[in-house]
Amino acid sequence: MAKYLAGRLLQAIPTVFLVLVLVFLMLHFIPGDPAEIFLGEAPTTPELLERVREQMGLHLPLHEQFLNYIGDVLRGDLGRSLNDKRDVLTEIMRRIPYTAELTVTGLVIGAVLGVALGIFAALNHGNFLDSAAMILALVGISMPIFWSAPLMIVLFSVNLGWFPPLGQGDPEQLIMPALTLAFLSAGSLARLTRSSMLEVIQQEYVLTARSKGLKGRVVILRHALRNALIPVVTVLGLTFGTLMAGAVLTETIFSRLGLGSMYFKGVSDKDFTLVQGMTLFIATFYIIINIVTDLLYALIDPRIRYD
Amino acid sequence: MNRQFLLLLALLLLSVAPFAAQGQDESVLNYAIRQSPDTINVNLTTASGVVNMMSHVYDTLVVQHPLGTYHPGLANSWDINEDATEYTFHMRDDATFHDGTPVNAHAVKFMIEHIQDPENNAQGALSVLGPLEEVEVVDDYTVTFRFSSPYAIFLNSVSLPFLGLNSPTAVAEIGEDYGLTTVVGSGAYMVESYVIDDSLVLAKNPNWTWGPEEVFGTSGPASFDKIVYTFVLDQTSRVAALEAGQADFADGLSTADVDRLSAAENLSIIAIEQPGHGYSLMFNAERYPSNQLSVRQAIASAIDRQAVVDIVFNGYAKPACSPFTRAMPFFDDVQCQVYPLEPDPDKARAILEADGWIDTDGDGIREKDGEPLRLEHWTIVGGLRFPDVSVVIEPFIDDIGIDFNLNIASRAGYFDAVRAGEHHTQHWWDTSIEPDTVSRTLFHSSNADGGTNRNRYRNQEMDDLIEAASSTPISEERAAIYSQIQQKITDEVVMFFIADPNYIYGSTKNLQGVTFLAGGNVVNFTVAYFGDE
Repeated sequence: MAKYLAGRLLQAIPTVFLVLVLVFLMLHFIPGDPAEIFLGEAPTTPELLERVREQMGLHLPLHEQFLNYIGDVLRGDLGRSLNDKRDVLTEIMRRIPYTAELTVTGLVIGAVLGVALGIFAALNHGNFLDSAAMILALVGISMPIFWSAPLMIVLFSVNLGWFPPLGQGDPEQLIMPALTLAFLSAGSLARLTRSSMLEVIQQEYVLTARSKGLKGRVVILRHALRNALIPVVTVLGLTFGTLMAGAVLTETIFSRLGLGSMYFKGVSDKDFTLVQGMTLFIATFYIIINIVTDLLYALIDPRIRYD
Repeated sequence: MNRQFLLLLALLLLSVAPFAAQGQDESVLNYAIRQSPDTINVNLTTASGVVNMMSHVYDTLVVQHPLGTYHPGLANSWDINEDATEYTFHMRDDATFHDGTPVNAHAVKFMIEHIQDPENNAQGALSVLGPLEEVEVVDDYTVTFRFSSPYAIFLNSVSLPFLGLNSPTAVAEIGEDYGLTTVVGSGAYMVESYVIDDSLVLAKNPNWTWGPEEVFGTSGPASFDKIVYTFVLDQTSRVAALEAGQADFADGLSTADVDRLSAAENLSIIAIEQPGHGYSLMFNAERYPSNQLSVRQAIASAIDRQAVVDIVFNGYAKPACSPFTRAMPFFDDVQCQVYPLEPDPDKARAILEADGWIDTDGDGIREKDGEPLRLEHWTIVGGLRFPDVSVVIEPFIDDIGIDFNLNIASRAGYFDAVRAGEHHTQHWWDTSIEPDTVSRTLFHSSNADGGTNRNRYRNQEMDDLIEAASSTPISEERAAIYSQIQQKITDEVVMFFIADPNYIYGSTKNLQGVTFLAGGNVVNFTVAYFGDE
């Protein structure tokens, strides 16, 4: 187990490095000069532009910029934002709790709704309720955040007055953004759970369980679901990535502090250090989630062991 | 299964752990503002929206309200020599910064050094200092500014929130994080907390008794205990915050929402004509064929400005009549005299034909010397209405036989193209209360090298006029020069001005006593309160 984990972590290093190289190159090859964007529309002279470029370190050759950056990262320094000079690592740490509460709540609600809907559909296989559940799942998958989020604001904040539309901190302010994210994942999870359940229900051990005289509920929850969940857990891990991406829009629309809204701003300002720091963080996080997902298999299915 | 569920549940509970409730006895104003500051230090910010919030935290030497009328601020009085090269301010001696240190002439000198320090990259503040040569501290409460050439508009400069006074002690103590975590001014409100990209909370300064009485009717302290600014970049979300009652005030509202919001029982809409220059079309003077007068004149004759006002701004604007908006000092409606509001496409076609632009191959696009009349128009996607204006004017220009090609780009791509001068035309719009700023940024040759003069217009006569206007102390003479400038721009169609928009604010109906400073750009709540009319 420990050996397996060490191997996985070692494999992660080249992955993270590749991500860094890719992001660095992409940022430098898309059009736009961060110094120009920083200066914006205010009266600007070529000398001022040059000075800002120097302050940002953009006057150095590309490979030197990259080596400097890697050096700093290895020393644990993600640098300061090109735009407003705040420390990138501090900024990420400050925002993690807000994005974590958003994505985790979104994932939990999404998983509960999705799995429940999937089981429900599978148990009613072929009849009207099955179709209704799957149409509902399709609606969930098809609703883009930029549409569902404003719609929720209009309904629940403006018309009904139940929740405040903006900000973070109170549980009240978490419900709508979390639901927005939950819908995003619930639909596909429901479809996956349904097909996985249908497959498992037809297995002989389920028939055996039933013929032993076990209650239907026990058969479904203890024998069938447990086996049906393996592909669901895989997707759940991947969904975390979708939700991080979803957080960019969700946090922007609900005006929440978080990694997503920071990423959005960093990309539009072409703030190299900010975007690189965030990407490094998210890539690392994603790799960890993947490892955790693999370890969870063993928890669900005793046949899987990492020796 | 159970273990997983417990784990997930635990995470859920952790994430919604209860947060401390806020006190309810204080009077609090909530403002959903469209901008997220780069820094809240007004001396160094590049964002004009910052001064909107920070007019509460900073005091200036002089206060301007309404435009063109100056009142004592931190300076009780001032003397200006005859040729406007020397300004002496006599400051009051009872004002203190929020950290208790005195507001005096040394702080004024410090502010100028802070702005001029090349490490700080100040822009807005630096651009209003003019030909400043020296700042002399005469005594603790007297300070003199000397200029290398006449600078008649410096009173306007010192009235701008860009030149608000920072506590020199605090700037030194806080160091690199000054403006990112907090600032220390001497104004009606103190910074209680500033969370980057989230919110700015201001708390009343109980010691503030040096306010400009002629402007506010009181010298302080302010009325609300707290002002909370929440930075909301999404327009729909700002409207929702206002409608749901989470915000008492919001700015940057869409003209499309305005009719619905005005109909709401508890909301009111405030529209104020903007000073500055309107939504406009810049012509690149260095590229063919936008450097041809006939082409520019034809476009100016063809565009229906009222259509832009109606379609893009839902009526919350006026067709432009000059390089300056109507709310601007020295506005002269020359553009409407030369180009009446009723468009004249036949005249436009005649101008082009007379200059040899004729559609020989019948494809609807004119040619001259075998070259089609094609213009690359660049515009930027974002909060402003530029793409909408482009789409509305395009058919008017196509109609007279010009291939008007829209390039609608992101910030980065747009900057690359227009700074390099790859455009024939592009839009611009800005607010300003100073005719010198507008003329200089748009028409002065010093800004033509990839700077703000994207007309790339270089004209010695124009440069001389701009310099003459800013060094003429007598108002009537300045007016005459600015009329000349507006006339020359119109005659040469250096730029064509399309629509003068409004500032649009939404407010709860019971909010009273809001002061709109700087021609409506700065919303000040010093004496505002909740109550019936």
